Amino acid sequence: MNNVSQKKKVLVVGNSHAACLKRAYDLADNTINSKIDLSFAVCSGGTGPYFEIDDSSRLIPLKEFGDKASYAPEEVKDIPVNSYDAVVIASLGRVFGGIGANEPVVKSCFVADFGIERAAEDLPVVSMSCFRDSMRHWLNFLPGTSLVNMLSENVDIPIFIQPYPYYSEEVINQERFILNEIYTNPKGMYDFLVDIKDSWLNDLCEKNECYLLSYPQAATDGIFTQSRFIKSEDLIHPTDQYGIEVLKNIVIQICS
Amino acid sequence: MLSAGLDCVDKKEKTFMKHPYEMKDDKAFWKYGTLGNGADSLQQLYEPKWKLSNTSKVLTAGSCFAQYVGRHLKLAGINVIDTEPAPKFLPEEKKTSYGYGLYSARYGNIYTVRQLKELLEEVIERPSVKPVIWKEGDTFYDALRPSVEPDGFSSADILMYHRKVHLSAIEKAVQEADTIVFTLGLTEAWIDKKTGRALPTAPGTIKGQYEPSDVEFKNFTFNEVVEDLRVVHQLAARISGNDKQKWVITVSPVPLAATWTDNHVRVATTYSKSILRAAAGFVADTCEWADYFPSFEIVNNPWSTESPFKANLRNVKDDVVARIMSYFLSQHGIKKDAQQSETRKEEKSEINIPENEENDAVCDEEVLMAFNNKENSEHE
Repeated sequence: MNNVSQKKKVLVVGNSHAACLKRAYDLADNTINSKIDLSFAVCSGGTGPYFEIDDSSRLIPLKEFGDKASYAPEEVKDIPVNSYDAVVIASLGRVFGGIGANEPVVKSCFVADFGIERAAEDLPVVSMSCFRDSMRHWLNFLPGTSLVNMLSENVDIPIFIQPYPYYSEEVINQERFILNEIYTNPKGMYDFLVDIKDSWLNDLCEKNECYLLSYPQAATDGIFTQSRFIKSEDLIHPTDQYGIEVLKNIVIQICS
Repeated sequence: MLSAGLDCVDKKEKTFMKHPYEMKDDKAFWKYGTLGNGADSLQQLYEPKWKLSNTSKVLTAGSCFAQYVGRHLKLAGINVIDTEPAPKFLPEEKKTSYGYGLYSARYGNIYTVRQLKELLEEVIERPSVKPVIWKEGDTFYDALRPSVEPDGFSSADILMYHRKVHLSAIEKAVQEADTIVFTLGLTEAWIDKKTGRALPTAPGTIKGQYEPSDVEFKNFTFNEVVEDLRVVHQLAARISGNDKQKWVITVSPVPLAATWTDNHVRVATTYSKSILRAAAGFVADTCEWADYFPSFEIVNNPWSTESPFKANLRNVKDDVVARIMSYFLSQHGIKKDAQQSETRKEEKSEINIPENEENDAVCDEEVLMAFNNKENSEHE
C-alpha cells in the first residue's frame, strides 16, 4: 500500500447499506476516483453480507438468502478476493434493525435498567451484562461475521470493516421504533446497544487483524448519524453524502 | 422392639430364633452387605419410599452437589422445572455463570436449610422482607445470590426489580413441583445482623466486603436443621397449596472448603456432615413426605477400592456422580434412554437468522436502485 500513484482495486462486499457507497462512487470526484477502483458484491439484508468464499477465495452468494435482492456480477465472482488490493465489508454489526425490523435479541428479553413499557412486561428480564453477552453471541454468529472470519483465514489482503451506521436521532422519536415499544428510556438502551456494537467491532477487528473504519466524522453527532445523512423515506439507509464521507475514509485508510 | 421381635417370630411360623438379627436381610450384615457384594456395590443401598416417574415435576435446590443431581435428572428425561430459563441468545458456556439452568430458579447454591427457609418466607411475605445488598463502587450485588450476576447491577432499585422477578419465579417453581430434591450442604453460615438472613457465602469471598460488625457466624445444630426442614416443607406446601409434595433429601458429600470454627477443616466437615446426615435421616424416618437418598454414603465410603474424589480431594469425580445418579434413577425405575436424545437436543440449539423482515422490501429496493442493472442483478 505504499505506491500512492497507483489506483487501488478494492472489493466492497455489503448489504443494502452499500448502496450509498455505490451511488457515492458514481458521483465521486477525482479525489476519490483517482485513488480507488471499486467493485461491488451486495446482497440485501442487515445481518449479511450474505456471501462466503470458495477454496480459490472467490465470492459465492449464500444459498439460503437467494431470495434477497443482490448484485454480484460474474466478473466479481470469478476473481479471487486475493486479486484485489483490499476488501471492505460494508456496514457490519447490526444490533437492531430500524422501523419494523424483526430483531430477535432485542425482542427476546429486556434490560430493566432502561425502564419497561407495560406492553413488554411479559419478556424475561436480564441484566445489562447478560444482555451484552447475548448480543455479542448473536453478532458472532451472523453471516457477515462468518464472512469476515473466513476472509481473515483465507486471504492475505487488508480487510477493512465499515461499521453499521448509527441511526439518526429522529428514529428514536418514531412510535414504531422497536426500542420505543419496549423501553421507557429508549435512548438509554440505544446508547447501550451502540456501546455493545462498537466494542464488539473493535474486538472482531483485533481478533482477525482487520482495520476498523471510523464513523464518518462529518456525518456523525455523538452516537447518532445526523438526520440529513439518513434517507428520510425509510430512516434506515444512509444518503449518497454519507457514502461520500465513507469513501473518503476508505481512501485515507487504504492509500495512506 | 419387643413387638417387632414378636412379629418376626410370627412370620417364621414361631420357629425359634437365636437372636433378633436372624430375620434381617443380607444388607444388614457387614459380612454379606459389604464384603459379599464388594465394597463398591450399591446393591440395596437405597429403596425409595415412592417412585419418581417421567411425568414427575421436580424442583431442585441445594448445595453445589445438587447441580449434578439436576443435570442428571434432566438427562434422564425427568421434567426438572426451570422457571427462570436462560435468555435465548446467551451462549451455552455463559449460562452457568449467570446461574441459569443450575436449579429450578436462579437462586444459586443454597447451602443451609435456613437459607431455603428464609427464601420461601420471602416468597410468601414479599415485599415486606428486606434484601441484603452489597455495594462495590457503583455496582450492587444481591448478597442472597451473589454468584448469579457476576457483574452485579447498576442500582439497588434494579437489583430489587430482578429480585422481585426471581421471587415470582420461585413461587411458580414451587407451585409446579410435585417433588423437591434438596441437597443439604453446610451447617456453618454467616448471618447478616441487620436482616437476620443467612447468607450463602461469607462477605468478601465471592463479593462484598467483610465487616465483622455486620455479620455473625452461626453453626446450625441438629435440632435447628430438623426444625428448618419441617418448616420448609410447610412453607412449600403453603406456596403450592399441595401438602402431598414429596421431598428427596440428600447430603452433599463434598467436604467444607473452609471452616470458621477452631477445628481442623476435616473435623469440622465430619461434624457438619454428621448433623446434616442425622437430621436428613431423622426427618426421612419420621415424616411421610421425606425420603433420604444416600449419595453421601456412596461417596464417603472408606472401603471403596478407588477414591471417589478428584485431585483436590473435594470435588467428586464425574464418573462417580454418574454412577450415583444412574443408581438413583434405576431405583426409581427410570431408564436412561432419554439421556442421549436430550443431549442431541442440546447440541442442536443454534442461532437462526431472522427472515421476512418487515423492512426487507425497503432494503431490496435500496439495492435494486443503486445497482440498477437487471442483467447483473440476481433478484427475481
